[in-house]
Amino acid sequence: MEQDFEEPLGRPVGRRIFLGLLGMGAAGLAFTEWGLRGDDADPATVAQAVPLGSMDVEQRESSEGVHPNIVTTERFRYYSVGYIPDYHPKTWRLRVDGEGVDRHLTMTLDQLKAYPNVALKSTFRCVTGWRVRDNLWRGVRVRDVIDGLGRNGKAKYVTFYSGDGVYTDSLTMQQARSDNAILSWELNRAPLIREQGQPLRLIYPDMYGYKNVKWVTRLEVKSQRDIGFWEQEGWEIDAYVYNPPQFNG
Amino acid sequence: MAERAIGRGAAPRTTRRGIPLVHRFDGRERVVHWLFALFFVLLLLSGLGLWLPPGSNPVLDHREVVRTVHLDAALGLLATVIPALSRGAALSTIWRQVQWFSRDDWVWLGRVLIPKPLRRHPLPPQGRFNAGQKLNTIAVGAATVGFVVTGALMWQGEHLPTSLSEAADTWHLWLMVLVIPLIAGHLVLSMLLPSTRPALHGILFGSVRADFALRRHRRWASVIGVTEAAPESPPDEATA
Repeated sequence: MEQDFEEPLGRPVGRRIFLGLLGMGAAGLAFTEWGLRGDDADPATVAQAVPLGSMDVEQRESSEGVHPNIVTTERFRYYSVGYIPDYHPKTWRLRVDGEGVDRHLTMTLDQLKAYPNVALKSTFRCVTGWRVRDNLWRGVRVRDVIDGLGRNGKAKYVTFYSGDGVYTDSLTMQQARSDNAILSWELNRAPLIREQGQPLRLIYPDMYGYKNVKWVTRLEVKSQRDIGFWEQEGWEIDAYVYNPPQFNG
Repeated sequence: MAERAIGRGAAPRTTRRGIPLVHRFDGRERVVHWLFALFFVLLLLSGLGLWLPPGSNPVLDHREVVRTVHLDAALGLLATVIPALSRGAALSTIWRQVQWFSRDDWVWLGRVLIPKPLRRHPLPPQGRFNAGQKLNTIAVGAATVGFVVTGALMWQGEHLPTSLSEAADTWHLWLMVLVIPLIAGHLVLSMLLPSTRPALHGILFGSVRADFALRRHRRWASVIGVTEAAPESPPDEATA
């Protein structure tokens, strides 16, 4: 059938070359995995509180030569499931409501910023495998916002709504009241860029990025848990970056 | 010889200038090549769309669409390659041929990168695929396996240790960096370089000029009966 083709000459070493390349690739993957093992997250170090205005924060401001949100050495990849909302300072509001708080409140960004500010230094980890180390997030603790509205016995969960009108996710009240759960408007001393969640993003470094809702416009405090966008597709509800999931809040 | 293309099956007989054509790729091989190329380009472009930062990324607002295209293109590529590797199918013959490396192949690899004016000896005759094409096929095949494995690890990242999904992400990106020169070289040789450009006709229409076969694939040309009697043509002349 193959009369048109020459008889093979030499030795069939191509398979060995192919398998050799695969072996090199597998060894490279294993070596990289081994090297990264020491960097696995643990509850004690997943986020560090940083004094506001510290030199550590200041130094990062002018580094990289690009917008401080866009780190070039370890690059953020910007995901959205719908469109990327535009931020209008005159119209943007954060709504906090639900059966779990006695008072409901709608506030501007400036009003939100009036809560006690905190800065967290943490690694952002995406469930697909990339991460960005040493991010400095500035914001306010979720618990400070909620507690100020009279948290009641029905306050078991918090649902975070994205301004894209599609994306939601939730935390237990214990998780939301963690020191590490903040509503952030600033990364590396620069306001969040649009793709990063401008103007407000939930940051909870204990969990993978998909729990860190962008373009937050509403917090609903409630007694039943809502299943988030990706969790409806089968992803973990408690997407801890460390194992086992020991809560450290 | 001018009545039909030499080799298997029907193919265009001569160029418009009367240069004989010889059959090089059958329809199945060409379909597999172009489907592979289509899915590979889709994967590269959508992969870049998923990776590029804001400001230089024209598809950021449609990330989910791009992600779906990326995953579907990966499935399309697998659906193209796996059946084509089965016994008797299009890729199995080619894959078998690229396994064999003769002494001439190694000599050819040693000489081909030396600029022609500095080359003291001619390139040895090559078969249907020259040694560079064989290595390129093997490397792209290995890279494809690497892309599939690391992509699957990234896709299922939430069920894996962080270090493993991060290592997969790192190597998925590095594979892209490593494979782009291979693809770029393939495109330059097949579309731009005058002396090798006649090969493009083969993967488009199935046949190449007989004089090109003699010049570049002499061992194969002799097997299919192409002789020095084939009319010469300028090396950069396009075939019809």
